[in-house]
Amino acid sequence: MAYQALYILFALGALFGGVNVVARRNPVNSAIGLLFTFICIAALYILHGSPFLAMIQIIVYAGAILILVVFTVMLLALRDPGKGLAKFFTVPQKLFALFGAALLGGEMFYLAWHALAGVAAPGDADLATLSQPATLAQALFGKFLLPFEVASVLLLAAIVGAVALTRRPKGTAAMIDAPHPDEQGGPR
Amino acid sequence: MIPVSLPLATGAVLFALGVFGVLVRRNAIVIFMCIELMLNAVNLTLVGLSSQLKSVDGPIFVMFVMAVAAAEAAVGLAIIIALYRRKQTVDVSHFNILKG
Repeated sequence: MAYQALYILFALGALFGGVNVVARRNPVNSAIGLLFTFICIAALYILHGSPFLAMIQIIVYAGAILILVVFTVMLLALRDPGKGLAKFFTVPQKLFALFGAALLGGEMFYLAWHALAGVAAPGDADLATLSQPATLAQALFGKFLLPFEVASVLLLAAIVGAVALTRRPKGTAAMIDAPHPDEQGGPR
Repeated sequence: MIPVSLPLATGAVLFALGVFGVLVRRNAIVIFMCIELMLNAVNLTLVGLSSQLKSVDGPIFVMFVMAVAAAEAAVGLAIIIALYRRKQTVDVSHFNILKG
């Protein structure tokens, strides 16, 4: 029972962080909400008996991906987001988006709460053994060896792609240093 | 023992939040963060179901999702930087050259 109360607490924390990601105006605040969600989900993994996954979650998501996002926000030095075409999304479009997302979420929530509640455990394997890194490693390097190798090729392709995308072509070296058009007091 | 409804319901609501964010936000970086939110919702669903079904496949899938998310982060943020270089903004409503 205490586990369930803790679980609900961390689940509500994850949802709180998610609301912050979507609703905050400043991207840095969104990033902090996302960090909160990642940490709460890591706690949920621990409650599910997968501390190894929780560590991976903290290292990969909170440690690598989020730092990359915050670094990009800092590099771009965004000024006054949403100026200019502020009316691109009108109120009816927002309502439509809310309706669609609520429909999708409600449908999945209903399925989760009712239809799948009776799913029983088929095996009698011990959960404590299943979540051991050794068990995970045996599956990863045995049954899932080919996907593992493909994932490494994917990561290599991502590295090459990122370098190729951000490499600036000749003659545009000073472009990123140009003052922002909206900046007050800059050279006109 | 945690009932399987709890992770599934949490994942469903988180996923819907991410979808809503992708639909209404215009800052490309925030859209990217909402995509990460959806990936995390799916991961939570996988872990919850695999702990219910006593299977090791769920955590393995979660690891692959994390690898793909890392690749996506590198390429996606590189695209965002390339976009910023072109128009000095990451507001996606400024990028509409494919609009008929």
